[in-house]
Amino acid sequence: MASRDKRDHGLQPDTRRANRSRAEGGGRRQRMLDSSQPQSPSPGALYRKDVALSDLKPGECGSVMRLNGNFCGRLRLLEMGLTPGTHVRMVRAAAFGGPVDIEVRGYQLSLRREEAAAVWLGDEDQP
Amino acid sequence: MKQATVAGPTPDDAIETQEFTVALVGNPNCGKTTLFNALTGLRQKVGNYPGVTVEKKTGRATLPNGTPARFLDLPGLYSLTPHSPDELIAREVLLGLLPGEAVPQVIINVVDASNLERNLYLTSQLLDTGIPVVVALTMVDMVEREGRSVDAAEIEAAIGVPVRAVIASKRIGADELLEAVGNAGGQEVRKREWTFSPAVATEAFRLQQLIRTEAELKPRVAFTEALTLLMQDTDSAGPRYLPDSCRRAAKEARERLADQGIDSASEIIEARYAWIARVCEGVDRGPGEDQRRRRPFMTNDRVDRVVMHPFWGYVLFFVVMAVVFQSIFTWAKVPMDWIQNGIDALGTGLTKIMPAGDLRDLLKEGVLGGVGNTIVFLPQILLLFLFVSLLEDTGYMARAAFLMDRLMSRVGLHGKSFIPLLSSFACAIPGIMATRTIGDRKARLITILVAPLMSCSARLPVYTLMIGAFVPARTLLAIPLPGGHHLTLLSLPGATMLAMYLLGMVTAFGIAWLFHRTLFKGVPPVFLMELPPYRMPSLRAAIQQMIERAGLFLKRAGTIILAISVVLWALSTYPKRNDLPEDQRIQHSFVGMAGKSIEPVIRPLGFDWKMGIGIVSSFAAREVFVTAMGTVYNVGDAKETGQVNLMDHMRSDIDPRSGRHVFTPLVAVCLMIYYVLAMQCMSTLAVVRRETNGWKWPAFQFGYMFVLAWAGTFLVFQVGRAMGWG
Repeated sequence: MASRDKRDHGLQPDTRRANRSRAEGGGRRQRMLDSSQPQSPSPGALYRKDVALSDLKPGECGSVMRLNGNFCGRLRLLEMGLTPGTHVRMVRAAAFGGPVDIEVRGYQLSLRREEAAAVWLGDEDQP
Repeated sequence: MKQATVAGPTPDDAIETQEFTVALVGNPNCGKTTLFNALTGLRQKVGNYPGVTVEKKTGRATLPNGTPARFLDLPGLYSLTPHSPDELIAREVLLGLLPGEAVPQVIINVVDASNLERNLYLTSQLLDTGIPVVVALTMVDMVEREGRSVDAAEIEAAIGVPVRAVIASKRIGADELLEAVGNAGGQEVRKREWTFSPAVATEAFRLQQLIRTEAELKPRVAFTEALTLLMQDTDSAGPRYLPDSCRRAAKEARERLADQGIDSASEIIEARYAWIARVCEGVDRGPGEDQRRRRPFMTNDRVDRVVMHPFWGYVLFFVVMAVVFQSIFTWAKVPMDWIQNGIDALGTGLTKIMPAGDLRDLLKEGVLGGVGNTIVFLPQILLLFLFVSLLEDTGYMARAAFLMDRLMSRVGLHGKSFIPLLSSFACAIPGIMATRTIGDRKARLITILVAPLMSCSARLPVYTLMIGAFVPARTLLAIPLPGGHHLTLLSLPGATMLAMYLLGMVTAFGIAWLFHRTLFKGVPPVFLMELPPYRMPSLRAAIQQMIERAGLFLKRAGTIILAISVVLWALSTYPKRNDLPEDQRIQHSFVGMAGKSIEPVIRPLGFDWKMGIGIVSSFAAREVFVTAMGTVYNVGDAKETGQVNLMDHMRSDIDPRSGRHVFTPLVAVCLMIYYVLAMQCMSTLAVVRRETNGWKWPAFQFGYMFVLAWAGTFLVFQVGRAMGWG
């Protein structure tokens, strides 16, 4: 264990960068855009930034910047794949202020609006 | 079976731990249970982990190399971070921290190929444990139908452990998987592939060293615990067994990292996803340009647009619910009547072949009655579980929960609480058993606690008797028809019945809200629910689930119901006063004495000792009240022709002390209110005990419902009497 630990110290790529480079490589983002095509024909209007995930309208996309606050579901949201740099798409929202249905990492996740309000969307990773 | 609740290893466990154990681990909805069934067939055993409500499922199979192996089906989980008891148990099993359960020799990690990224998150945690891992890749056929391809060999090359594609429903690939499991024992311990930044790494390894020395854990285990502590944002949660010094050190480490602007939880999770991104690169091939149109997400989306529509979604939901409700309320009645008739016929047969005496009565009323009281629930349980498992497997359940969550979350319930509560109108037993689908523990417990307030079909005989005898058949709302006839829309008896159902419902929601705000105040709600793609349900899996649930009910609840039936029979028979006429004997039995001695308690509710006897003897089941009253008033068979007779007797009964009628419409209403609110059903208590794995919650439930019933009835009776309605 100890010897392997040392080895790990040797290679320490910045993980955030690794994430970004993957996004630039096309993979996930490409897929997200594709699946949102049927919702909205104009890709230019799809991305929104500096808003909370709960503010997105169905069909709109964004890129996770950070999870605000220290609420209890935060860790779970991260583990379910809502890490910084991840692309999300609002699929639909339930009536009467109910939960929202989002697409993240190729699957559909529903979360309550309060939790979605804590997910802040930022810049896309490329200009 | 009862030993399962005792903490610590039992001799049975001791034998099991020496076996070659294979743990099945995977995300919910990844096809893990189907695979488990395919691998072990019907050689399964379901129990509980000591002290918790987490279900422990084991099965047996022989590996191709001849080794007999025990398969442990761990609960479906998204990560090894302990958010829920399910995850806590799973991680303790895998880290070897659960007393009485040895570390499994091999992990079969079930990975859904159509959802690689998120599924591999758990894989990255499993690889950290150092236990040999074999990946079972499911849903490959689905991915291919989408025009994409996922190659098991390429994933194997990328993550470095054996990956075998399986189609569990057809058992394709199962032998290759088992062969890999058999060879995995010799798998060399792999080094960690994912990496994190120097700052976090330094803290993680420092913490690992501390945990190794303080808690005397193995390096791998200590590493996992260190990461968990670094990720946890609250100090209260977290792994058990760890000394406070480790927690304090972790808190300081988190603060040191935060000072540098590093969010340790986010950093660690991102690092794992970065590794996943490298694994997925090139492995998960998207569809070609021409195949884009076949993407199932679009098909899924098209279905969702109707199913989750703000209007049509609810219409569909109510239609589905109507079918479920109708089936357990009406269709189940037919087999239930067969069972009841069968039991009655057996009783008659017993009367013919056995000489009269205590033994015959014990067998007929105690044992046969108890058995009848148990198996009469089977049709409802089987039907409800057929529906629940079909709704779950198709993916509809998650959508229904999505639609209902707003309404239910206001009172601390979950979107998935709806079906259990609805089913409780037929019978709380299948309803409470169906709460298993609710992932959130708090919402599940609240649902269990309030479910018996829904007026079940066993209350109907009580309502019918009371309304029939004391509520005048006055028409409240009618449409005049030609020819001097009227079409009655609402009559007073109907309105009274409706009021009882509403009372139960409103109370259930009110109490749920109260518990949500008091009892479980600090417990955070969790509603992170995957909406799995629509899938064809497997009838075989549904039937297996039905049989499993029914078997568990018979084994766990049935034994308790039988025991209480026998005890209640004895209490209502002894001490035996053969010198008295038959109608007076029950008064002098223990039940009669209890009924009389509780009179001071129920007097303020307007009840006398006769009703006391009814209440005491109907603790077994509410409908027994009618038969008990029949016995007290000596009208013979109170079920059929005797009922009219019984109503007359009750109406004309005069209290010798006051000279007034014992039963008045107000007393009748009070009695009904008491039955709406009180927990007069031992079968429900037995099931709650089984579902919560202990007597604590059923005892609490019995207590709170009794207080509620007493207070509610007291209020209505006293106010009613003061207003001169009595």
